[in-house]
Amino acid sequence: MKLLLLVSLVVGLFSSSQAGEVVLQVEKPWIFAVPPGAKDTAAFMTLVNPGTTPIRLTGGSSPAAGRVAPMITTKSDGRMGMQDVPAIEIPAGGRAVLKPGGDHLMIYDLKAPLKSGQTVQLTLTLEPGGPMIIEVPVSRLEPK
Amino acid sequence: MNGSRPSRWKKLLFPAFLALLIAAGIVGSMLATRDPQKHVHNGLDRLLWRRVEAYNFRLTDHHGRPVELAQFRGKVVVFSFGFTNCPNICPATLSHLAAVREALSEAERDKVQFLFISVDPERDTGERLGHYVPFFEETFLGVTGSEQDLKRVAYEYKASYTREKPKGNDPKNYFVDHTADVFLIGPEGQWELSYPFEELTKTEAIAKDIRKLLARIPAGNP
Repeated sequence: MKLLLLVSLVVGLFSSSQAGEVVLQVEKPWIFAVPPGAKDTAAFMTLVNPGTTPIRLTGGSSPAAGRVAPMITTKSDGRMGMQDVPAIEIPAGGRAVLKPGGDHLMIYDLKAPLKSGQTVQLTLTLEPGGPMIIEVPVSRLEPK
Repeated sequence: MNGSRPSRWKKLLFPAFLALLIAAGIVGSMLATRDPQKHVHNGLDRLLWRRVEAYNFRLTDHHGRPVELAQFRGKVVVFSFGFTNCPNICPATLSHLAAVREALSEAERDKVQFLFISVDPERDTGERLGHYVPFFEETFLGVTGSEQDLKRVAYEYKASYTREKPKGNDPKNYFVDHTADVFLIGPEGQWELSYPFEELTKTEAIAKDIRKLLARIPAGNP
């Protein structure tokens, strides 16, 4: 509840700064809690684009990590691999679902281990739209 | 006398036919039991049907102790392949498996061993596996071995993995593509089935499969 409120607040700020033209809704963002010593993790969320222009998520940044970049998961014959992509596109009037085993935002070079329950600030870089700051909870599994 | 013969034969025909049917049924079911590939009525009728003798891998656990699949005979074994620098698939797999374990009763949990087989032995030392794997569940065991042993394990389970090219200048900064299925081994050492990654959210269904396998353990087995 608190989270939803926060996200809609951020979206509100965001859309007003963009003259109401670009609006992106972020639903249920979360970051994998990974064991101490793990350098990288991933962030997941559903991005909803109610507008008439496609939006590209080209990456981002976080005070908790060295680098944030979009990545897709490739799958063939039960085998999974990951591939860097320049952006994840959120189609006009559509959505992009970032989830484990699928597209995600890689969070590289964690500055400190992330614990389940804590919240991490994440700035998404959007084209068009620019930066969008969200607060993302750290969790071991997708929050219900 | 002459007239009664054909009618006696007719009377015998039906029981004989019945006997033949029963005999065929018995032989058929015996054959089906002998050939596990045809024995399809154990309830685990979903996903990839295997039920073949599971390859007995010999590897090293995260405490540095030798570990082999056969030592878990009488238990259900659930394992996956991965590597600890895996930021997406492996934490999801291990978190889902931790949820499966959580769904089991205390007594059931004692008869299930979860293993995480690292296919990145160069970076995944015992110490590193010991930090990583028990983070998801303290009874989970991280195991790995030589490149040669791991290739064999993967081959035997129709799995595979490939190290990607390093990113940037750091030769130790690479991903490993790997099979993301989870493997289920029954208490008699049979490879029962494999769950595709997408199925791992079905916590209750997997717990149910494990219970079915546990029900095969003869009573009195410690």
